[in-house]
Amino acid sequence: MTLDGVFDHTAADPDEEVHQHYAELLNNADDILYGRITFGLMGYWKTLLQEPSAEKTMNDFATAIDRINKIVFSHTLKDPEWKSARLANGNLEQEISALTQMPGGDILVGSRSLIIQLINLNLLSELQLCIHPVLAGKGLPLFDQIGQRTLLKLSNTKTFDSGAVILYYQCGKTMNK
Amino acid sequence: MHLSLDGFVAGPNGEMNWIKVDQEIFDYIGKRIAGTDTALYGRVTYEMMQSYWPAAADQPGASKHDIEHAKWYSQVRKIVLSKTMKAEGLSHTQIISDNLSAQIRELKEAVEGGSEDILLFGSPTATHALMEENLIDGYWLFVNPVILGQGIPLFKGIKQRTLLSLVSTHRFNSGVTELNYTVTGQ
Repeated sequence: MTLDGVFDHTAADPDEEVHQHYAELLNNADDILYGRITFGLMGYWKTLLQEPSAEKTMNDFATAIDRINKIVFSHTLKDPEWKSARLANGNLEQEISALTQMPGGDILVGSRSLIIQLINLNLLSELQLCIHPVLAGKGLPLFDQIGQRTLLKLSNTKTFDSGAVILYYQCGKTMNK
Repeated sequence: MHLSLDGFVAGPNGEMNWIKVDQEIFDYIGKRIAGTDTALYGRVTYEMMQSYWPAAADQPGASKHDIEHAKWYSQVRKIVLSKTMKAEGLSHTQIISDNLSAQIRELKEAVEGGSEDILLFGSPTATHALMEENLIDGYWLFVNPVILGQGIPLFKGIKQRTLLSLVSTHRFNSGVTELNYTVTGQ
């Protein structure tokens, strides 16, 4: 997210350190939930598996995102066309309920639309927000249509050389084991 | 500036009851503002300050923060951005009512520490006016652990993508995080 709250992958410039952080995050989880748009954008990383980048951390991230189980929420997408991806069974609440009952690790959420829904449903257990040192001026706000005041508990912060800062908050509701 | 995680400085009706300020944060802020040459305010925030600080140290049960900040407030040079206010009868106070860009640039040149020594407190409307003219050189933010959902936004009127440099960050016991940036370019 930019400092002025814009959620747009072109607004900020994640560097090697940031890519490495997120590759590790993905490697330590089993499942990640996506909406259609973000899932579509993630398709970019598949191309790196065929034609690796000069930057090792980008290749590591591509490997990590290929490995993790991707669950896509979409009314229109018929086939995710990715071996490690499947369409969600049912709505967000139903899918999460099913996932949390199975053995497994953390369930990550990679999409703005899902994050907003989960905050409103009070189903998000942790928010890890990466704030990049840039003001976009305009663009899609991450926090939009949040229905009510939501209290959070800061549990950690991580600062990168680029000036990006991740703020870790507990949200109260448990979503995973 | 104290703000919510979703970028609001107050609720839709100006509510600030969600802002966490305690002695730890007051002490931290106090250290930086002690050396501030000039405090900048919009009219509404200025009126709020005037209704409290001049008499705050004299109230029975005044806290350490009340006493220290009241002293600082009485001595700091104040500049108020207002098209309607008049400066008569106000000590250490000057009004900027028009030619915002020119007057602020002049101010930055006149103040010894340059823009580093001019701090804008609260004042969302004035902040937006300064953002539109690209006159803000740094952001000293205290991010509160709360998502408000609606309210008065901090950022408005930024015309183009602006790069920032993170100067420092600090974690407070209350869960507030300080993020301190300078504006580096566009």
